[in-house]
Amino acid sequence: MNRRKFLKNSAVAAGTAAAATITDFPYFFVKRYAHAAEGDTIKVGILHSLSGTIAIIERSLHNAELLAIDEINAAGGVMGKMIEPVIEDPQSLVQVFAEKAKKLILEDKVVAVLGCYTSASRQSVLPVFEQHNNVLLYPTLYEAQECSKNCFYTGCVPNQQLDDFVPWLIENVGPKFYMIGSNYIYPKETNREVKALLKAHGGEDVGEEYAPLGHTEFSTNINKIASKRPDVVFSDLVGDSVVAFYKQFRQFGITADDIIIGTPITTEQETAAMGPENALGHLTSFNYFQSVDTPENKKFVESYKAKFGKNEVTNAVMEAAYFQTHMLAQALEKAGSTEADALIYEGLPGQEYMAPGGKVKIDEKNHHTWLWPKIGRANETGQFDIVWQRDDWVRPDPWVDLLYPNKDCDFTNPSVLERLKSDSKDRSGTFELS
Amino acid sequence: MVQNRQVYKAPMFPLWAVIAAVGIVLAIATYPFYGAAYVTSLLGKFLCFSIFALSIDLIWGFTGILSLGQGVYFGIGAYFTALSLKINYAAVNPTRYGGTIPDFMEWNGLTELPGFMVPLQNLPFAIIAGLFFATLLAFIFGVITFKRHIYGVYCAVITLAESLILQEAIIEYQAYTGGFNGITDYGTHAQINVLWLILVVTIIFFIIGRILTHSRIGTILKSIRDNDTRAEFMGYNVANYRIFVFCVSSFMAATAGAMYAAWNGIISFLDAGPVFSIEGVIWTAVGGRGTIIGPFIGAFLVKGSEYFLSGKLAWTWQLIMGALFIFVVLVMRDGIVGTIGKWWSARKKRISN
Repeated sequence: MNRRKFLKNSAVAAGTAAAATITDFPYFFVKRYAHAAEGDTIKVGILHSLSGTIAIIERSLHNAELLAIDEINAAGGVMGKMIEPVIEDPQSLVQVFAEKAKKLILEDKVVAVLGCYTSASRQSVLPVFEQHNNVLLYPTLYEAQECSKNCFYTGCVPNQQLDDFVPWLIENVGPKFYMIGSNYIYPKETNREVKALLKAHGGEDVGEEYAPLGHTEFSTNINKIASKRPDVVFSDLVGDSVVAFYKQFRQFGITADDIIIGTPITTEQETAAMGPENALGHLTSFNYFQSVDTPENKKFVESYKAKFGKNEVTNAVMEAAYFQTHMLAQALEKAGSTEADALIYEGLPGQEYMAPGGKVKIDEKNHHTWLWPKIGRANETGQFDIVWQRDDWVRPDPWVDLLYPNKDCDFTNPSVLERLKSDSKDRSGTFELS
Repeated sequence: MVQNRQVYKAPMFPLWAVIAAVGIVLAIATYPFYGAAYVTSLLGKFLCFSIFALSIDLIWGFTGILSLGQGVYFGIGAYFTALSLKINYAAVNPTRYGGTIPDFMEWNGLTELPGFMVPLQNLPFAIIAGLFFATLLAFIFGVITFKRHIYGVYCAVITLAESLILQEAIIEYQAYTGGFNGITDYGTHAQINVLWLILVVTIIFFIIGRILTHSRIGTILKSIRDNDTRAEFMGYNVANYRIFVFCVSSFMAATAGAMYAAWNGIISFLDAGPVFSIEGVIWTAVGGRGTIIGPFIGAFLVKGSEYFLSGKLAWTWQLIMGALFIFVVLVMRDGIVGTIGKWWSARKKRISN
């Protein structure tokens, strides 16, 4: 056997060996969890992108959910069984989200899925959950106007982020608003409500602009803003645009003393990425900040850092990801069953949990979550000083009263329940009512 | 000593291949009756992907035109079909805003279906229009580039730009395309007769591909690939052959897109973009370019292992896929089918000697 032949043969052998081992590859690189025998665990799907453009954010949600599952299992699991996370990587691609949701439901037979971040990904998986009657818990703030019996929304909806924030800005900062957002559904719907609120509270809308998603060059926009001299720049830019916009705003020489940026988007994650000096003094409205002073939050932040690194920060979406996992465990316990219908009708509606940001509750009527609005001002460490907070929780209203008076979902209405239960495969899972 | 020289030409459809093909087709066609629902949903997708890879193989593997924008034609086919399905679906199932037009139109401020989209309410028309439009675009593109002798790297760059433009246009004109969110929620069309339709179309395209490349035209195409100047000197109109094969390939890609949209139930700008186009090139390269069966094997193997690995090894699967690609490119230049074919003929020669 000459050298060439030997190389060739060994390559083939190595290839076959690799192919053979891949099928039950020892999970060297995957974090191992307590695997009990089949049937002794309750499988829960985790559907957050671990690769692709939104992986940075989704990885933190993924981590927060795994942390919560660890805590639940350490405390004895649910109904005497351990929770087994089934992890999928939807690669930041909407089609893959739908595909992986199908896989989790049909192949792994998970009882529920914790997942999605963008509205696009949620909209891509919802038909799958409705068709196969499974449960999705969705942790992100979003534009609302949606009711699906198969989805439970644990992030903020606009009425919880804007109804107090916009009037507060008008009163404490000034009435002239300039709106800038990324060009997709969330900013467009959010700005519609901001404009309605401005009208109702005597504010003034001096400009509205949309940049393509992922846009990072804002000099012309900032020029325009500087010439209009608004009191508040209301930003619903998302992703990389946030970092670029704040930085260029500061480089242009505008500080928070001149014009304040107010936003329902920017979290500790973004301020850390842009450098705290660029965010200094600007305002964010959320239900949770890492600086919230509660024993639950202290424990959450400490155990997150212990598990994933001491430089990690937490934010509102991660908090939702964390508490929705605990709520799912409680709901399973309460329903006493892993059937989807038991979770949808018995377990999850009305479920309460002492979350890091305050006590939260899933609304029985519309499947969204009661939360505690707060306004934070970014300080020199990239954390937020809470400058205002509401002293009671706020009911989620997916159909904001200013724009859609008297419109809401109602999953407690007996006739609706009747129809949903009798026809669970029907697409009538998504509907709206008077 | 004079050897008896015989020109051996492989039969168009060798018996063993026909038998194997019938077996595979029967297995896929009956799979939904005994197999897992999830795998069935993958099967339909993979068949569409393999037609897409075949369309790339026709122009790249056989004619030497490297297109990094084949997703454009796939995307056009997919969007026409999905838009039609969505418009019809929204007309009977009220959207979350309670309207009767697609939801992405509503949140962009439209209150009724724009006039130029009204014909799309007719599904057969929409599908045919999509296929026609894709082929027409390919024809125009072919006339502009091939008639002016733009080949090779320049052609790759232009096609890449083409797919970038379409992708940006889809995102920009979101009132008509769903933009970043794509088009989703237009009913379930993943039924067994749709799978059979996809399968039948795949078989037809496979046969067309084989006839096209195994006939006289195929020989000319290969000669263009290997040395276009010489082919030109021999009197062939190289540009016309290129335009023809480009149109055929685009038609196939658009058909694959249309079926994919119906089967998958969700499409987005990514289905028309450069990344998807380049993925198709990878499937073809792994399977074996310049062979008809290669793209099918490549698409099934790469996509299949991707779905399999990304579930088992959520954190490291991309590294493994990358290593596999490098392995294929370094060790098996001709792809899986090409390498096996060469090994087989070398073995035959050795035995006969």
